[in-house]
Amino acid sequence: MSDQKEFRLSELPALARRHYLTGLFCLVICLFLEIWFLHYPPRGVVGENVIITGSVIGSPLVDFDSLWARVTNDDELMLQIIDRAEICRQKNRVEKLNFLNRTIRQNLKFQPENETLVKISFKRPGYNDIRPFLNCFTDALIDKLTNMGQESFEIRREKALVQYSRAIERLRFIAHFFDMPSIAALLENSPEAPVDTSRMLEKVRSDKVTDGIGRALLGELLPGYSTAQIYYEPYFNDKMKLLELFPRSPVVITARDMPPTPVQPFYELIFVLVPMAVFLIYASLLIILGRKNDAALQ
Amino acid sequence: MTQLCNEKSTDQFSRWWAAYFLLLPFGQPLTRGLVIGDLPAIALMVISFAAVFRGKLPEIGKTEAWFIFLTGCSLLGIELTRAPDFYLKELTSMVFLFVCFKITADFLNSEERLAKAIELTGKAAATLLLINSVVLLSHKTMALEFTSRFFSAGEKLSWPFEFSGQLGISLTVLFPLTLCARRLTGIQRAIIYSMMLLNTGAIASRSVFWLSMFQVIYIEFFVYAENSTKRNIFKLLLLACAAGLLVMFFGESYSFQRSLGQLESSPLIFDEPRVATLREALRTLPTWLQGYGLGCFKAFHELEIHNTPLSLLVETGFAGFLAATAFIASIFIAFWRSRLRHSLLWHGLLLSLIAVMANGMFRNLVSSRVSWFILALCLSHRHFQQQASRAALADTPTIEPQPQQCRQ
Repeated sequence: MSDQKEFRLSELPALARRHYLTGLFCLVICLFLEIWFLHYPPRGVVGENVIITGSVIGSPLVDFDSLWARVTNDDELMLQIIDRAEICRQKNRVEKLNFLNRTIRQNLKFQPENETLVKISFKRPGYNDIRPFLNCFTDALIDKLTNMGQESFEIRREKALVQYSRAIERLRFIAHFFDMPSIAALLENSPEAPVDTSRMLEKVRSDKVTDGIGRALLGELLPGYSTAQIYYEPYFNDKMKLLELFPRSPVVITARDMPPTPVQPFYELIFVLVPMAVFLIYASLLIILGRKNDAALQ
Repeated sequence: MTQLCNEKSTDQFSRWWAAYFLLLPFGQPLTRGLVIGDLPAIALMVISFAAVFRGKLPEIGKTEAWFIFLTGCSLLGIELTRAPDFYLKELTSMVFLFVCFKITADFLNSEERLAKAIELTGKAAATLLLINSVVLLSHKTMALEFTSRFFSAGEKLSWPFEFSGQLGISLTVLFPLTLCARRLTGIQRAIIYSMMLLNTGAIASRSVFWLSMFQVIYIEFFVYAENSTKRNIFKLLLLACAAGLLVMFFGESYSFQRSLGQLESSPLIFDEPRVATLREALRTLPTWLQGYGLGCFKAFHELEIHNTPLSLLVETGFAGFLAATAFIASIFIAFWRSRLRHSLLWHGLLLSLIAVMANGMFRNLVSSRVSWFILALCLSHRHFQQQASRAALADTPTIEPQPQQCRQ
């Protein structure tokens, strides 16, 4: 039996009245999908935290890759973070570990923007669980970065101090040995009050340093002194403007309440596409049901 | 209704329709994805839309409803907003082909029209076979410079299409129409079989070649079946000789070897790019509820899924796949219940439909013009059922008002 019949648009309202349950069902589906996608966008939502890892003028204090691997693979630490964030509804430890493996580790990633700037991202289906976990995780990471960074900073600082002191002592020795009181006076308060190489050179030129060998030796030691001083400065000068860009301690620069964003671009279009899709499906169901009725009548 | 009767009683083809059926097998690309056969199709669409504005409403049934359902499901694709251009391109081509399908199925509302349409298309396909056969036979001669344009990369025959696979689909789908539009003599059939196997051997596609072999055997031993055992054995021997000749003359050709299934180092079925695409497609499983997005798979994976059902399942989700299945099923049901069943023409269409299904396992046919054309021819059979039921109603006394009879 054929289902062929001349179709008129005016039949649609009559069909819609006859099959009102279908319309109701489609309306419910449409509303459900709209609300569902409002809370759970396609492809999920992602929250990001940007942190500046501690550094000394751009040279990182801690190897972030190693730290990341250490933290994310530490089950106990991660479970503590999950408990603190209260995002896992399971109480059983095994289920929590499953949740950690399947949900957290798969969706937690980091991306270095440059030597000292790292973007940590966490993806979830809905908006609610992202910020609590991300904030707790970042806090734990910052704690580790701070402790390790401080330790690394102290070591490097010590090294810089030793190098600078060695350079100063060499200059002092030459100054005393070849009787250059002006140079010795300049270095009197070092290394606490470092002396620029330019001032040193000015002193060498202006003073009547007659001893050629002494002057020559001074000239040989100045580059080493300059290098040591440049290396020393960032560890002891707390007023450098570069500290704003490259702080010594790690810092989270993303606001703690920054809302997550949907992964899918132009996500808002879905709220237009869903009604269109449901309407087409509704129209097709009406036609099918209408043809079925006609076939039954025949 | 009167207008419809008038149309049926004239049974005349307009030039546009004749051009459409004749140009269909020739997929010469023009511009922006259009081929030469699309030009008369666009003209026919314009005529149809003008008729709609004048009040001649299209017939809409379950088949059309399932297509609307499928279109609705395609709007929910998960990657749609990330690759809207791919989606719109695929949707546009699908809707374009559906409109062609619909107006063709509605136009072929008499047996005479259907027979004429198949005859025209069959002749055009036979012409295509002949041209390519001449090219193949002269390819290794002085005409190499001229014939090389008939081949695409890797010496695969592809004219008039852009890719050899498209030619393979066109030939295997239209080949049965060439033989079943009207009864042919043995010699005519032998020539067409030879041309067909020559062409499909040069396309370098295993599915196309073996499908054409199956078609030849089916047509010769079932459609043109003979009662005499001796004649059947003779036919079988002739076929074996033909196969032997083919191997003898073209056995060294790369394309022919590939058509038989012999690849450099891989066995018959193994095909790494296809397997890789299949793996990628299966990885999208979590999105199958909503669908990846019509046409969006190749946006992110650079490869098309070479399997129509899987492609529909991945891109439109379970609901879209079911809608597409129901769409095909409704066409098949109309075709199967035709009063022309078991006729020569019906057998040819059945083989073409089988070819479409078989090709669909190895290629994505959502944008295949010849496949949609065959579906249109199959759907047109719903007119014959309706005419039968109207005639039956006219004979039977009933209280209900009688359907209007065509005036002779």
